[in-house]
Amino acid sequence: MKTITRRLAHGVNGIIGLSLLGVVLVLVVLDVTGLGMKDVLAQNGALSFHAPSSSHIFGTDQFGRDILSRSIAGLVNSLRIGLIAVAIASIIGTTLGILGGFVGGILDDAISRMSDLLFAFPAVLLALAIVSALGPGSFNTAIAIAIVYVPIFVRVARGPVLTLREREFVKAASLLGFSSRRVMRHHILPNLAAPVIVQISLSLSWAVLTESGLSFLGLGTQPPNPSLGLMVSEAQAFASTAWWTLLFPSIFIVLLVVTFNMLGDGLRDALDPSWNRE
Amino acid sequence: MNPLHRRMGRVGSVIALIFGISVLVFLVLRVIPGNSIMTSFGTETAVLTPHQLAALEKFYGIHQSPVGQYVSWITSMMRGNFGYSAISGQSVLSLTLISLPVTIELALIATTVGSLLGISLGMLSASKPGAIRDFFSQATSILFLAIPAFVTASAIVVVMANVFGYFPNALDYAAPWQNPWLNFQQMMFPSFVLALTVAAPVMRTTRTSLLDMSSQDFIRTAEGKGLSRKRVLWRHLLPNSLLPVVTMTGMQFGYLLGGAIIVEQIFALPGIGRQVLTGIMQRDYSVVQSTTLVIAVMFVFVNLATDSLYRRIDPRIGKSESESRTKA
Amino acid sequence: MHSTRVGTGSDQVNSSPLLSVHNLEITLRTQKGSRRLVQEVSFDVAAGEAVAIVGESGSGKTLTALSIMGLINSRNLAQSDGSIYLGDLNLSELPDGQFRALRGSELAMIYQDPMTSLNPLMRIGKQLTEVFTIRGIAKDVAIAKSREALVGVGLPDPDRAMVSYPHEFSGGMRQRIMIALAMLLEPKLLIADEPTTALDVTIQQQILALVQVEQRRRNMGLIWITHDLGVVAQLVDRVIVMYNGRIVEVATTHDLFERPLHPYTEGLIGSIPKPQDSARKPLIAIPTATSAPPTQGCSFKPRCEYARDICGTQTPQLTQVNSRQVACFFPVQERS
Repeated sequence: MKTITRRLAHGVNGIIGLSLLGVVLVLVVLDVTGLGMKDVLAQNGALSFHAPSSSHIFGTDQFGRDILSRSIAGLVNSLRIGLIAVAIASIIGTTLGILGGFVGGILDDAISRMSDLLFAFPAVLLALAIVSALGPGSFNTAIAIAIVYVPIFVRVARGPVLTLREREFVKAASLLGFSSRRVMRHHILPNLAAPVIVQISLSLSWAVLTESGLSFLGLGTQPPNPSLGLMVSEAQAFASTAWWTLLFPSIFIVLLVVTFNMLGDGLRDALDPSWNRE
Repeated sequence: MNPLHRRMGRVGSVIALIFGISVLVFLVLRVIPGNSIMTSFGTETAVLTPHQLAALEKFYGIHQSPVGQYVSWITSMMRGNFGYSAISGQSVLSLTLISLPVTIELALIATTVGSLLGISLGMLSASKPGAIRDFFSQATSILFLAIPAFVTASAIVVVMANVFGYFPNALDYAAPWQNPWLNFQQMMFPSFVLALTVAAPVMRTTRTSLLDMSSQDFIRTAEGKGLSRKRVLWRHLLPNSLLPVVTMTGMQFGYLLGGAIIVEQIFALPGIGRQVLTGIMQRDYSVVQSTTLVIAVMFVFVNLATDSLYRRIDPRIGKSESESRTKA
Repeated sequence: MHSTRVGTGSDQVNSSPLLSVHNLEITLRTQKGSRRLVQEVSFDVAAGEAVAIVGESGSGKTLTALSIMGLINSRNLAQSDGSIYLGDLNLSELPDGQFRALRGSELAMIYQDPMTSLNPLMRIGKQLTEVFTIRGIAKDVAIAKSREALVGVGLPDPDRAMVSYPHEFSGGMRQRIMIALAMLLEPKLLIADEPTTALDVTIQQQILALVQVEQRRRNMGLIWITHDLGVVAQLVDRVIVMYNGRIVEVATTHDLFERPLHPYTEGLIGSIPKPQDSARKPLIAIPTATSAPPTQGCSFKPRCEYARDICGTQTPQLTQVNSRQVACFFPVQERS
């Protein structure tokens, strides 16, 4: 464990990922504690479209709301939805993948077929269809994204299980009489941890991207709650004169995506034993 | 298993997949808001002619059990009845025939430009791994990935339309055979935005592939023959490295067919993605249902085609298992 | 200019040897510092002479070979000292373009893994004719000569082979193709880097025989790199033993087998199971070396049963002992 964190902290990807994660966490703390945050919902016409200044570092939007605070709240919102979605997807997907890989047979066939089915859709389209069926809102967005990302976790979990099942040390353990559950826990799961963790980070970055896209279309978090995608969408109308309404929410989206992307890459470098630097 | 059997098996599983997709689409769209379709049927169909109304009833399989409804839908689609828009009265089939080519053109341009960009960046990056150019190429690719298409698109709209007053997409869409110049202008921004999203994964794949290939023995053999660096690169290294890129590019193209929704919306391109979105916004369920199925089926076919193409290009993929190996 | 030569197979005193490696040093630069992977390596190869370089993985034998060919491409790995002469030509100071012209025509190399040594996407014929066409030779001539070469290495149905892809051939066949490829321009020196390690024992013999025939026929210099002494006993005139980046012993094949001087060589020869040994005789295993060579002292000391204090403080140099060379303070005495 210690070596992993050390390798993570030494790789370029890991360094950037961790630093950005630090920034994100600071922002989360700000939002949660309310430190330095202005009211996210209160409207004040007199303050609308103020350019960035000392009192409003990111400026204000069309309703006079502080964009910095809204962006931070939006970031936390996107993060929360993403985390829920990826948590659901990873738990369901990994479980199904392990079951399918370990048990094999018809169960495995069924699981693979279903996940192929979900893979047959472009992600955005599927998420869109599900959200349109469920209705707009934060939670439904999380569900939709979760469903879209289940198959990738199935695949990530199933692969190693299949290869490991055939490896000598697993077969030896079974022959020695260890129960399937024990074999699973001691031999298979530890080897799964790495790819799943990497995938969690990467999926999180994609989840944020998808969530903000859906919010942009108005199908995600509903106004007046702060949502980065929604802020960008609304900003289109004003950005020619109030550029700050577009720039800052966009930067926060990019921040989230890059953070988890780099973190995922860094984790992959740190956890993959065959990844050797010259 | 002889080749014919294998091909039939493949076709069979594709058909099964398509049916599976249709079931999924049906379930997602009908079972949940099923009632709302029925209840709105009387009120929102004022635009339709009696003939169209009848066709739409058949499409939905009204008054039947869910299974019956599904069957009605599938059989209607197979007969060319894709339903009718409850808002405009147009047949979904005719709508699709107009919108699909737009998206195909967009996806083609975006994929081509994006791949070329991605491959170039990948080659640049791999030529001196660890050097400054590698760092910048990779950083660029991450930015392409991380900046959402809708952000780039919005920024372009803001700058072009509001600052420069240049926004060709405000005019009615022009097909390439109607007005090639206008079509180009209307396509260039959206395809540029989408090309960036294609370039990022292509660049990564190219880079990884090139680096892996460079240390392969056959490159040493090529150099050992006295070949120039350039020849080794273009005749030996690149062809082998680009194999996985072919698959990636095909995938990206397929993805764009259904994933360009937001960009089409922002640039007001009447593509198939916009068709779905409009259908969703207007609660025009027949449009959504049929269009989604069409997009998913196209995606499957594009993936199949990419797979076929790959098999053609790589001589190692067994054309026939009966090809015997000459023994030493 | 050249190191003192140990008795070469042919007594050429007046002309310079075909290949002369002098004090070769190859350094690897890592984040943790530099490490010399090959040091103070000097040897000659005469025209028509067959020499083996023997050593385990990590001994530096492949690197030495790549250095001769000029194929070390890595940024972090480079020849840091010494010179390599092909005849009178100093390869180490040769500009890229001229060196490249030598590869294939004067110098050729075949590699260990036949499965990955050929471009999987290019037909065999193309890979062969390429050697000619880049040098301006007409295509039809190239095709004819390539085909002839395939016949020469014993490939059945050479016409079909010319239009086939590498994956259609077995390992042994591919290695034959590699040999044909290497011989196309009749190089003066062939370096074979463990070409039979990845092949079946029976095929090994065939390949060995093929290389021997080619070498004798063309009076070609041959450097055969291996970790398995037994394989090359019949093939080469002289053996160079490398350990951890240095040469530790040089002798004719006969001398080496009859009386190995360096403890490492002794261990190597001793570890070859012989048919006449009793079935109960334990297999002598030499534990593998994993560490970088020490700055002073003999690197074999940890594994050497004859080691004494001086072996840890001074580095033994390669010294002449009659017609042989050995780098050891206490070379093995006559066996009782």
